[in-house]
Amino acid sequence: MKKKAVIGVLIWCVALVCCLFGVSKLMERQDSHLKYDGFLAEDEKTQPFDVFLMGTSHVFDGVYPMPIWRDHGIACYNLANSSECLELTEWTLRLALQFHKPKVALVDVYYVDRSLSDVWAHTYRHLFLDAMPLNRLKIQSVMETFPKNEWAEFIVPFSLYHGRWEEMLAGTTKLTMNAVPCMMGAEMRLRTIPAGPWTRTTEMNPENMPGKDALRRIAALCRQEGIELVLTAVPSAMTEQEQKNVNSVALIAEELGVPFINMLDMPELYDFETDLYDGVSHMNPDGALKTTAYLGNWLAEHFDFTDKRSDPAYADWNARLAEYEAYYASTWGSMTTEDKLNAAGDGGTEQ
Amino acid sequence: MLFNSYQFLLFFPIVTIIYFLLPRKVRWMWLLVMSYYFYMNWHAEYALLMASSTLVTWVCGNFVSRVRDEGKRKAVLTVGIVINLGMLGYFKYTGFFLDLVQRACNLLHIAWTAPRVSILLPVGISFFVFQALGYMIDVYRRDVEPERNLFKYALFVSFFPQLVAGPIERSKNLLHQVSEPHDFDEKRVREGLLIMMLGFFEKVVIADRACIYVDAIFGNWIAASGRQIALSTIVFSIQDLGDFGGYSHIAIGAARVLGMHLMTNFRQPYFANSVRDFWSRWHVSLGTWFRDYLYFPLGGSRKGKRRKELNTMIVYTVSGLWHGAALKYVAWGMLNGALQVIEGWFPKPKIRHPRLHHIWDVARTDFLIAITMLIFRAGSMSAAVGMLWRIVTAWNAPNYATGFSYWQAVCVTICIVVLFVFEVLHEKKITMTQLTDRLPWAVRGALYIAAILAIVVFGVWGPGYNAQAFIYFQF
Repeated sequence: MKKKAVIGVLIWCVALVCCLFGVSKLMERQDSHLKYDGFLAEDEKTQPFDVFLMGTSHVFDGVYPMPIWRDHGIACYNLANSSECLELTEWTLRLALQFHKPKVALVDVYYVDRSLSDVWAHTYRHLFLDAMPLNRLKIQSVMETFPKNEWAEFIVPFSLYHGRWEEMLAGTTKLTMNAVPCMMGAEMRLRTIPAGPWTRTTEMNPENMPGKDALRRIAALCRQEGIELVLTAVPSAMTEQEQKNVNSVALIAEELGVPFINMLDMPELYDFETDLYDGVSHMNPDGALKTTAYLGNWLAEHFDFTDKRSDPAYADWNARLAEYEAYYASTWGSMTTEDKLNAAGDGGTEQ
Repeated sequence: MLFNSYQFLLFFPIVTIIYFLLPRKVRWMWLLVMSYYFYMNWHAEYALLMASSTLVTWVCGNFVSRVRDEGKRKAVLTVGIVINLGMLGYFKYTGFFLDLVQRACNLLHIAWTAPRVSILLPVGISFFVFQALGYMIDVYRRDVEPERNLFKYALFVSFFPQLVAGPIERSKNLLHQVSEPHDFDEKRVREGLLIMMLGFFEKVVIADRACIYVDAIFGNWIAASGRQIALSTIVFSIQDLGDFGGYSHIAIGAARVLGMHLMTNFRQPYFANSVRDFWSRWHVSLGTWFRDYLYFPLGGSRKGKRRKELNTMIVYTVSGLWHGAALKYVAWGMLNGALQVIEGWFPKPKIRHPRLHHIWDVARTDFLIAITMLIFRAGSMSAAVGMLWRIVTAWNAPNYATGFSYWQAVCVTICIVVLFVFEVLHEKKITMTQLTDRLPWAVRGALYIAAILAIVVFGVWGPGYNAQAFIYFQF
């Protein structure tokens, strides 16, 4: 009798846990999955990715994996995230390496002048962590990057999202980014705002680089894993102070013996009158395609990647490319210059 | 450690499982250790305070039970009371009394500045001191046998479910249970868990969500319209019930799981048909404590009508002071006393329509109680007066934007209706266990799961939630 009762209680407990899991899935924000599920869904055994694109929103708005696939047959995934200082990028890389190991990690260094204490972008960390399966490394990453009283919301996101019923009922749910699966982690932002007057400086400010230790750790991790590290600064209308900080990364790159592609030094490549979404820092598709083309060529020239476009194992990548082309054509491709200048901007997408 | 915290959700199952796995003889020791651990989660050093109160009352209790000389017994009892009330006075009322003296000096134009004191109020001090005092007086009156085992007595004072916000248990009810063996009983455990679930519903779903609206209005009542103030007062009345009633239910349920029966602390107070009736239903353990240890010793109703009224006023003034060290609490207590005195002046009329009459009585009582609740919740006495005045003079003023959304209002309203149904059932002496036991086990299980999910989804908890310390913790 007792045994039967215990079994009964256990069955109900399991049912409760399943229901809680189901409800938590229902209440979860979907943008994290839209951005990262494509990465997690790939078969771990085949190790499909050649390149991880990492760093801040400058990268996820500025570098599209699909054109690189179309032009070179190089498989990239954009793991970059908004407000991601290099300490967080280090953890993003560690967590991503649990699933796939690329040949190259391309890391944007725009936030080399920020440390964890300067970055309070919980929403964006959720954007990355929510999709990551709960395991020891995820818990460790949360514990090392957030204060104790904030661990729970990252380890059990339901503690944050259970109250979303209100915005779901009111129809006011918003996504953090325009996450579309065929963008492979990148985002297309549809507007043009010309930048104001902008001056390029090549000066350096090596004193203001709190992210340099994280860069060193990223380099060490890449060495340990046999991954080629490439540092880059994706173009944006940075302030002079920001440019000095970013320029200083050349010193670290030299110390680490890794390439540093400072795209601020390539004014012939882009036009801040037409290529920016917000007139300051984020690329619109015109700018992003220029950046993507340059980086794709650079990667193809400097590394010996196998062209996988005709590989049957990558058939779904070609299907995804078609989806991307259609997405581009129906959005940016169908907008006139006037539309682009008058667009309201995204501000998040209705779920 | 709050009941509505992650720690407690981990703490309670662990304590319970180990409790039932341990040999019967040592279970109470485990509870004692865990009760002190529970308390020390706030401020470890204040456990010494509780231990001191425990030791003093235990020694006094044993002394008065052994000595026959009435003078000595009285003296020892007095010493015990003075020490305990002294502790309570120092930690809770030092600042208040210094403030009163300062005000008096200002009125008399005496140049004196009260020293600044910063004394942290130990959580639950009013509760465990009253519980310990009750024991000592019961032993003195020979109503209970003294507990010879200091540690068992320590468990009586510190029993974690009711330690920080009651119910203030009586030695007659709880002390003997400490020594009794409590085996695992599936039905009792289920009953306890159901009561806890009701408590969490009241606290996390109703009180903490209602609190968003109440805080917005009471925090900026000058900008609110009269009807908003009136509505927030009603909502606060329900929030307070959800908060304190919820705490009591969690405490009673947790104790029930462990095999202990704590006294009922709330008996559908808003169904009361007079203010006196309300106070026999609201915070019952405190009301009966004051009745037995203050009202009766003052003479109760035995010394004439005027003396009874005076005693009532004394009890409710002290009760107000017990609730908080501020003039508004004193005024609140006195108002509750005065309402009961005034009620006594009017003889009960002949009743033609008992049901209608009852509804009128209940509505009138709830109206009066709501006014007292406004004083209780307002930031100060002057704010309370200002709010009452604004209800009258600014009823149609433009509404203040509270940030409380339409869907939150819908949620609170539905939950209040659900609570009302529970209250009606309890008034009819129908318990949740009785209701659910009639159902097939599959339906019952599904119902429990649905209830838990509803609490988890519609409750206010998680990041950004200041685990709203239960309102009564401050007392």
